[in-house]
Amino acid sequence: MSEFQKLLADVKTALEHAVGKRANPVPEAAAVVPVTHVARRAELGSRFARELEAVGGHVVEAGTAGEAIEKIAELARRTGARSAVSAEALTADLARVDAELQRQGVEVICTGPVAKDELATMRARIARADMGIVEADYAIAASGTLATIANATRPRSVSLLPPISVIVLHVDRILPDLAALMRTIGPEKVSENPLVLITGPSRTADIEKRIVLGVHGPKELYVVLIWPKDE
Amino acid sequence: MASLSAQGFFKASRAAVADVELRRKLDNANTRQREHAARAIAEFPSYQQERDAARAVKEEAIGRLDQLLLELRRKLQARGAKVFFAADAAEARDYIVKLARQAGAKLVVKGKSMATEEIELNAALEHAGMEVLETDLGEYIVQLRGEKPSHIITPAIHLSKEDIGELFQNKLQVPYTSEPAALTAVARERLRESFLRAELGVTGVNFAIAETGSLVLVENEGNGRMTATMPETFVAVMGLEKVIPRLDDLSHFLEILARTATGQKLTTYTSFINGPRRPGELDGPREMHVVILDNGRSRMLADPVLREALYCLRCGACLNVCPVYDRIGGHAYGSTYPGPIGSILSPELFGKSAGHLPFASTLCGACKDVCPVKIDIPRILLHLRAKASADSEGIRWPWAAERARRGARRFARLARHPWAARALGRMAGLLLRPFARNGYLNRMPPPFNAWTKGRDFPLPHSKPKTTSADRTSRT
Repeated sequence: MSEFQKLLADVKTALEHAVGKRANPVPEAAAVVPVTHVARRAELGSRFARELEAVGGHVVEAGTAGEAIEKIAELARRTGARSAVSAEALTADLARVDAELQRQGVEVICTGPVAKDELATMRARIARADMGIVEADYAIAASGTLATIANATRPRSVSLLPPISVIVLHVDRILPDLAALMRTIGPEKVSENPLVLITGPSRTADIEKRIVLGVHGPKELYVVLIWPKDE
Repeated sequence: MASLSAQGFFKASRAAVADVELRRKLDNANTRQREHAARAIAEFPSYQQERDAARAVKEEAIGRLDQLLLELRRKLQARGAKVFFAADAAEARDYIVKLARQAGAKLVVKGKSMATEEIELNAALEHAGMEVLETDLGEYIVQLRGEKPSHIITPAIHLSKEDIGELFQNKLQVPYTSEPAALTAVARERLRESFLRAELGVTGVNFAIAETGSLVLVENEGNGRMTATMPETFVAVMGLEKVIPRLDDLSHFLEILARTATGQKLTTYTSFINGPRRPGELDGPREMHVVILDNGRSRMLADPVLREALYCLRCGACLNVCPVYDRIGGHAYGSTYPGPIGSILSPELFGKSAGHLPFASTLCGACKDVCPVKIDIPRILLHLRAKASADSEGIRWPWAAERARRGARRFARLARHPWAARALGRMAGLLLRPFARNGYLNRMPPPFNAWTKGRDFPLPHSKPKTTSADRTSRT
């Protein structure tokens, strides 16, 4: 405690010494992309898809939640995934995904509550899975970014450890820009749960500035975009 | 850390300038970097607005840092994280080493963090008998070479893919390849198992939000997420200037940071961490610590000119445009923080041993133009130079200033008579001709060689045979 008081004292004295202006008003957040808040999902959906492809992700469209399950199963077949792990979803029924994958012969790891002494084993199992499936809470059109909020039934490592990442997203969850996302999620949620923003597959440019995908996180990122077209 | 004296700096920079290979690599990377950033900024119409907004937030945040740090600590503690304030590097090191011992750590994994480079954490942990692994690809490469990073965000910028191929062949016993994708795959495989095995994870922090008690980590590879998620104990190390007031402020920074740093719209991962894992959660650390580092920063805060340097986001943009950095690279500076911003931070954080660095600049101002939060780097460098001169004991030639003034007055009188100035110039040209080559004075006898050793000067009244650009590429 005392060391912190020392810090505050130091900082306070330092502030008194300096002849700086205090507390400038922060200008109102500017609109970041030329997309209005009432923009239709078509604009947001297509911008999101374009931006995601630009950072090396792939969009798979599905008309309904049911179709999304078929698409995920198809992705597993196409990528040759032999094991998969899924986190609890919001709008899609991932339990049905699990059943479908199992029917296809894919080993499915369930991430339900586990005993304390099994945590490490569980994490090791997730680390060995070929495919991780989560649903995004929100997305940003301007940058092709996905936002996932973690909790007990939605572990962080599902979108991190498996080399193939599948993220389900409902088109109505797409917001125009980062400022809108921060406003929508809000400080309360952010102080309560871990949040991660994901923009494309894991990448590096550390060797001669050349872009390589799949360093520590997923090498492949598929977004299954639920986009009802008939309304 | 700052490891070089002024003499050491001259020696290292002279060697670097002569190293054609290094110059080629730096030029290659810096050019690419500048192009990427310029494109990303051009494609983003609100860039200037976001820049101004970000700067305004920093002005506010630094102006009420005491309140914000208190709020941040309260929020973090409420979520079960432990917060430690370290007055200097030694306190921070000792705290983390003690923690590592308590955690029974044999292996420590690290995400990229300039703050831990600053306090030389790796050496301290290794001294305590632990294995320390840098997990950012660039950091991993320089660690394997036994080197320090030579750039704030691209640690291995001074190496070619062939250098790295040979390094991996020698140190990791894998067949030689210079293919970046293959080299990356090797690192992934080596490090994957370490994340699961390590007892302690250490990362830096890009932003800390007081309102929500969140630490924000920005990265591309996923090693930061791994480090903050997998080991049972997690320590985040942050400079005390990293705190911002509200969640709403963050977007201004995130909109400009990746664009200027790497030319991306956003980095691949932006993690918000607000405490250890809660009951029922499957991952995240059991124990989380936040080390808030002063180490000279409150001294900078007390100086109204220097204070602005605390707005720095560590994006590295000023390094990429600096003509000095471009020629000598990061290592010649001999400091954790190279380049223009480093020449400001180093003397403040590492003391007198880095006192010469504010002089290692041409004051061209490219850094100020490119800085996303518009830090007036040349002004601060001049301020530090003035401070250094005032601090040095006694002025060697107290009459020098008066002489210079008198000389300038004489020159002004002479310049009013063009014919006289021309005649005198011609005479000087003739007298100095023996010391010139290609129309440039570049080999004067002592004591004037103090100037011509590193610079040249056009011979009065002669037509130089080379252009300034020719001479630049010659060195």
